[in-house]
Amino acid sequence: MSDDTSAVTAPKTDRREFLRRSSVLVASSALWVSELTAAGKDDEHVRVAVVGTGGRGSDLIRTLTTIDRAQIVAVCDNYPPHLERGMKYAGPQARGFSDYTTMLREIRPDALVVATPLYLHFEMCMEALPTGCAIFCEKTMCRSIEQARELAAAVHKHDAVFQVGLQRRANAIYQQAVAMVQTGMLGQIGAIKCQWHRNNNWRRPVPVKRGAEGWEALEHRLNWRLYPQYSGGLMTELASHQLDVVNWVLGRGPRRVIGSGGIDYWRDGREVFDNVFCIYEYEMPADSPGAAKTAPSSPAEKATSTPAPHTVRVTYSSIQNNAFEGASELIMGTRGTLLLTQKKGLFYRERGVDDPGWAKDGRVKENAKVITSGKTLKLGNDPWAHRGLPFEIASEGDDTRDELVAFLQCAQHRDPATICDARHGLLDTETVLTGNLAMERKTAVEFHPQDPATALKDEG
Amino acid sequence: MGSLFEVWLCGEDPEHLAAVGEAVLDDCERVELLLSRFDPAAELARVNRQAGTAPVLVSYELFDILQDCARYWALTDGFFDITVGGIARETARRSAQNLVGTADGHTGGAAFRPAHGPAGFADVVRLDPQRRTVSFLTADVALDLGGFGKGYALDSAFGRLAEFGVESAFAHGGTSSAVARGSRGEERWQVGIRNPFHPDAEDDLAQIELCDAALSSSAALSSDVPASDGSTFDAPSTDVPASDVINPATGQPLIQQTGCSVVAPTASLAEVLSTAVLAMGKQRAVAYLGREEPWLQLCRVAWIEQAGDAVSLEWLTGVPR
Repeated sequence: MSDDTSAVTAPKTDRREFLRRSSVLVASSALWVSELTAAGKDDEHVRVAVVGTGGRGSDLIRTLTTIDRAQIVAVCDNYPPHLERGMKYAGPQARGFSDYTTMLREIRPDALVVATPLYLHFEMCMEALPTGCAIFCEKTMCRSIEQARELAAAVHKHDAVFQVGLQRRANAIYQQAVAMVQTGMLGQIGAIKCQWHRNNNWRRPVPVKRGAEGWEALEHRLNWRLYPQYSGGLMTELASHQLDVVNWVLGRGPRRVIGSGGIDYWRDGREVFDNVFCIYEYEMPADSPGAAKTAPSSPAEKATSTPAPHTVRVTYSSIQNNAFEGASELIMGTRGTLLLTQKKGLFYRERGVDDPGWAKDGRVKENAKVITSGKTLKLGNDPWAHRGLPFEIASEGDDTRDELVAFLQCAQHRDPATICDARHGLLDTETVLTGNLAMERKTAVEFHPQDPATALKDEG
Repeated sequence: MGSLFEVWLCGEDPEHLAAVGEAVLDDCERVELLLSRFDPAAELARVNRQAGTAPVLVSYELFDILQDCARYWALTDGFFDITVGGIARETARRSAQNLVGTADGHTGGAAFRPAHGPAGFADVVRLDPQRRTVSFLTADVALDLGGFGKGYALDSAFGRLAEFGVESAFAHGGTSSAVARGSRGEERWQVGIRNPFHPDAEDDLAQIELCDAALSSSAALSSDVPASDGSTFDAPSTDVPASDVINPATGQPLIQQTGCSVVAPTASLAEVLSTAVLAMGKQRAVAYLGREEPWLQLCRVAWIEQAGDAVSLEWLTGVPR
């Protein structure tokens, strides 16, 4: 069998040498450099409107004000305290609106940022598409799979510039991780574990006394994440980030999911689960990265593995009464492990038969020295000593800012190839909502293999 | 998080108070994302990385904060200075020949006046209000909003309490910056000022009541005493040298064990003044505090000093009620 596996290109430098030379990799986003060189080149601004100026929307507004290219011309929210906050962050040049349709009509922005509660994403994006503006839609793309399919089709039809706010796609650490997996540095992926564990009630405070008139309506409004008519709960609000990373790393969507969830602690009237657990099955083809046959490292070794299709199981959990595990993704491969967060990535090498760690190929004298130097290697009592020391991937930058910079660049050049387009958004929506379905029905749920979204391979 | 923030809220609805408490702590985290110089995702960290190369466009909020800090720099004769590191080294190099030991133990040239010196804040940081940009005029400038940031975070978070009907609350950041709103039932919030040099000492140096006011403590410690006033807002590890207060006049860390506590209407103001007074030294501070400035009149300042084994606290202005 030929080793010329076209889908996989191993890096020219020996992997071990690369790791030995540096223990920290600072993966900086190339976006700043391009931002710097573009600055002053032209005065062309992108006129941006933001709808939904609550917590996330206000953060996006603040971030937009630090990007030269963006000019916030309007902010819109029908909850006055949020509109007030949005206007404060946006600055005096931005007009405030409480009606979305009016805002679109009067402002006709070049780009629109949708940061309203999940259930409003579909109708607002659909209303904006015919205007020709570029659209940045916060994750999760839609509240239902049907809506997501319809929106993705409409985006395609309009050839629109559309980006979903899954910001890890702009994070240099995750970009580096995906590259490492795809070049075979982790070997065959055996399993992936993601979780987002926190310890709080997830409630926003209501500025009206409980029992007073209007309290209940306002509580539902501000705590939309807790009610299924507005939100898919932990899966749509948290898991969508992490399962998009999984889809990205594995280059496809899942085929099947089982799950279990419930309300077991925060019995406060909420209607979404307060703890969720899912196992997703991804069917990997024979030519997936790492599964390719690797060259023997010495003439004596025979290549014994035959690439074969295999299943990667991905576990996901999110709980709200213990924060120990925090939020991270663990990608486990035969040659190495990646532990990823937005701030830092750690790569741990697996000890394999081809790597005793201290023996250097062909340097007999040095090997002899190590063996006879009289030092005793102590392992100590650390139960995690087997992991060894990680290779760190650090990053400079804020992925929310980077994703907005990337979006604005696409908006300016009318380039529909955004870093997270509607197809990725659709796949992500299907992934998380099918997980909810599996937990509700308490049975395994299949993703439809003939569905173009699940058969999608990441071309990026 | 660099510093530990804790919040106490009083009221009748525990679920509501829990949600308000989370919102307050979220706001502190939001401010950290704005003002941290250690978190690479923070806006200030980005400014520190890039402003030496080209003007950096910043958010309205950060620009306002930097303009306020510029104002405070001028109002404190340069003793509240958010530039660190390179600028202090430069200052130290230039004023090395002016080093004179003074009676209050601070090294510093009596003739050196930072407001007119070549390396004050305004000489190396350029704020452009038209474009809302920040730039550094020399390569090795960095901004540190550690202390001020704690105060600003507390003020920002507490500003929202009225919106949620919370009338009585207390919070601190790293135990060195505290703010109190309303009263705790019948009593006012009581705060003890601990001995910064002997944190295990049983007696507090002073006990004060705080009501709709803030308290900030800064201390300068010799290098073999661990910092006991809490780390700076976003210090990443315990390896930070104990005396992280630099005298902008000399560029040297303050060497005598001295401390300062300030009660002020807001936590930001308390931080500004406690930092500035500590750097000034007692003699200069007494003269400074005697000025007829409205904002100074609202503050109460205590000077803490170690002489031999004894540690004393003296109110340089009126004792807070």
